[in-house]
Amino acid sequence: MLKVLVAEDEPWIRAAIVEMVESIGHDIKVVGDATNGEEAWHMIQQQWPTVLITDIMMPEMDGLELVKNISEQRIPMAVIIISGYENFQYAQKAISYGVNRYLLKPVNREELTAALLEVTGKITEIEHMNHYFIRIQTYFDTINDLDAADGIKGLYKLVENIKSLKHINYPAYLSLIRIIESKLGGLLTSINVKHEVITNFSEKSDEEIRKHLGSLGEAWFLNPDRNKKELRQVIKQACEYIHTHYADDLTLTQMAEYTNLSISHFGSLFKRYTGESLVSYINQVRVERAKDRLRETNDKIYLIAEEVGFSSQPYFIRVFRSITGISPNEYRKSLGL
Amino acid sequence: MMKQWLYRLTLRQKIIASFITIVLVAVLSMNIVSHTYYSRATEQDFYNIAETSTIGINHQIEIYFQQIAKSTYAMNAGVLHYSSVLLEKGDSSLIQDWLRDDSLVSLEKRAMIRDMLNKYISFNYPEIENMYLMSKDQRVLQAIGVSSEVQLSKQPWFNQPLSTELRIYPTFNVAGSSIPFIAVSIPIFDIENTTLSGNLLLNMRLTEIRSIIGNTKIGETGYIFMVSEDNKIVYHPQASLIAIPLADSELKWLSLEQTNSLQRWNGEQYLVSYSTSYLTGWKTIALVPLKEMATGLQVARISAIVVMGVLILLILITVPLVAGLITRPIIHLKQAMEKLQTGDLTVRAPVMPGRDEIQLLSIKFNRMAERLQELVTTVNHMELKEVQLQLLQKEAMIRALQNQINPHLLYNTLDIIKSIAFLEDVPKIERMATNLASLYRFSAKFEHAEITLAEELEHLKRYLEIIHVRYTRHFESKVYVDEKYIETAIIKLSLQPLVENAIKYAVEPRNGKAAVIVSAFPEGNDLIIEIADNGPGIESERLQELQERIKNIRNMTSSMEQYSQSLGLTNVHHRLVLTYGENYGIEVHSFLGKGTVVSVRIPFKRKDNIS
Repeated sequence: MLKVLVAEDEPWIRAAIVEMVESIGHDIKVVGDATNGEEAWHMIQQQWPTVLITDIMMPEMDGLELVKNISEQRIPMAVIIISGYENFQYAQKAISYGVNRYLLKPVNREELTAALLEVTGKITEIEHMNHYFIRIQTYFDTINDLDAADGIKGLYKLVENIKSLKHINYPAYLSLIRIIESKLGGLLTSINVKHEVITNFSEKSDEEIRKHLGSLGEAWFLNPDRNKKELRQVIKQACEYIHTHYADDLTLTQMAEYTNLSISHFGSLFKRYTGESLVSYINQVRVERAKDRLRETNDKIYLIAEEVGFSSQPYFIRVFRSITGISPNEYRKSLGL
Repeated sequence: MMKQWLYRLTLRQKIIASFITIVLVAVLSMNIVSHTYYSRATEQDFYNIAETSTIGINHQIEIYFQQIAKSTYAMNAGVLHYSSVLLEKGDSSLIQDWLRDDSLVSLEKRAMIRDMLNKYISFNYPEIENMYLMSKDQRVLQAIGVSSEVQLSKQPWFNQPLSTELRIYPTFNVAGSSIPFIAVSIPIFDIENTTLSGNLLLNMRLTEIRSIIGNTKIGETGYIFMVSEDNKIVYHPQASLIAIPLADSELKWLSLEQTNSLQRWNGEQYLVSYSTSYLTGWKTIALVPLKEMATGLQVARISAIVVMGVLILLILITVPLVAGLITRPIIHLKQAMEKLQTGDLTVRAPVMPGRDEIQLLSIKFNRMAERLQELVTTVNHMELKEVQLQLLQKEAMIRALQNQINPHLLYNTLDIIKSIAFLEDVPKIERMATNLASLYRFSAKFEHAEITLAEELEHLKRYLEIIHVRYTRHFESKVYVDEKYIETAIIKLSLQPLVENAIKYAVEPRNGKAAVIVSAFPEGNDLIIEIADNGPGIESERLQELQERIKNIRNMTSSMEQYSQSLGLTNVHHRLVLTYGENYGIEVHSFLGKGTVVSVRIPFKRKDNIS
């Protein structure tokens, strides 16, 4: 299965790409769409997609920087760039960052399909690596549910698990250790606890790594502030905001701004406290409201889609189906209206 | 010439030269003036001295002769008769008697006369060589010896009439004697009737004259000599010259017209002065070489030269120093000016405080340079600003132009249109947007001037697709190009503009009810691509004009054609000619009411080096 993340600042183009990708079938799913590079970078570290489709010209962080980060952090991903520029320097840079395809705007559906199918052929290894990232993410997604003993035990188990990669792909192994460190570091930073940061683990022994990560985990789990009320309150406010402003164009960037947190901090906090990503939370809210509309009015589907904040009807239909299992029309019929 | 020569000198040299010239002129003129006056004064002094001494000498000589004459009077007159005691009365006037009549005088008495004369000589003037008594009837009685008539006739006085007064005969030589004599003729009067009865003649040696003149020396070699009225040398310190006519002597150059004169002979200047004796009529002449007289003058001249030399030396030492002091600031100023000339505006001339004109000039120069620097700085600044402004304006203009063709904006917008069309399910708009983006992208790419026919046709097809959307119902287009030609190299944007031209002139006027057919076929080594339409065709006049213009491009490939109308045709043709040569390009054929065929001729070659 291909898990695709789309990063594009133009909503229409973003929506169209998402639709094109979704319409290909072949077990290709869009797991997220970001409006800028920073959002995309955060989502990558939350969703761990296996394919990135990104524009180059984007606010906050441009596509090339995003790709550079991925390459530097050794995150196993296939990357397809979409650009209006047929610029040799861009293309050259993109290749140096391991970009798989460079497509020109306007994006041609056939070209995109061909590119994705080509990626499918190479996905096995990426998925194998992706497995480890998912494991790490799962641990951190459920970290609030764990008490100190289970939490630390779980952390050691995770580290031990990753160690199996050490002899197969050492750089990837180091990268994973670094991700664990940065995630723990992020947690500690959120409760203002100072901590040691190593980042470069290439010279460290297993024991040293274990000890270092263990000490960070303990600092988190043994800190009474880890279930701080204020942060929970902030996320609650964000949720309330979403419930009233669902019809607006809500993005991770906007929400992070609203809560005065960084995109990645807000994103991870949101998931920690709600158990869901912002996008799926917003979609759920929107679908709930859409259900109300479908029940209470005779409005056309595209009008309802627009009313509840979806940029296009197909997108609405797809999201509705993925959440409820049926299409909006079917939902209406099922109610006997 | 002189001026030019003067200009060639440096200021310093000029100053030195003029100083030396001035000093030379001053010293020389001073010297000349002093020399002139001094020599004139010396001359005058000489004349005064010479006159005094020559007059004195004359006087002495006159006295001498007169005394001689006087001393004989008694004897001549027979005054001795007062001493009658000693002599008989008859003896008292023996000379008188002899003069009256010889016959009356006895031999004895004659002897007595001679004796008397001899005594007189020996008593009075030993320089008297001989004495002669000469009577009116030319009888001669001599004191010493006897002379024959012939011998006597050699005496200068012999054939002369008896003189009535004292007369001196200038120096003469007597035969047989080397001693020169002068003769003194003393008149003897008869004491009874006081008539001239005879002359007493004394032949005298020059002893006394020598002793008078000989003492008188003038200068080192200057001397005095005497010349008679008939210009015979009476006396000369050099004995050999005595009694010779002046004209025969080495002094023949001497002119005696003026009593005082400066005469030149044999490269020497001589001061000559003389005075004439009233008694003898002789000239007593003082002769001195000027140089001897003017020893003081010589000293003065030498001292003047010395002074001049010292002065010149002083000038040579001090003037360059002074000139240097004067010219150094000028040289500094000159150097500063030269530097300024090369564009160094920071240069300043050194300035010493003072009111020296050159210093003032330096100050003025510095002020000028300062002002110049200020101005240049200002101008530079302004120019820089101007240029910057222009650059900024150009930049703004370019940016504005770029914005117009901003590829990101263009392609992004086309992509948005395409995305909306996709999401809203309008495939025609989707295709159109995609094709338009491709068209622009193809046109905007500058990398390759030459592409394959396939690429150009692909581009053409995208264009036609858009036209098809425009005229969905009636417009028809076909591209018949065999696979074997599509690798032929062709310049980019060669066919599409021609088709665009056909659309403009054939399809648009008919509201799309027209067809465009593109086909290709080989002809020799060339490939012909024809773009045919069934539009209204081109009017013959316009067609001719068009063909003319195309022909002109062929003829003068280098000149830039002003593309007024049908930019497509001429532009494409021009590029084809420039790329493939004069034999290639386009041809236009049109048939009014039936359509137009534009054929493109290119060399049939594969574009193998596609990068």
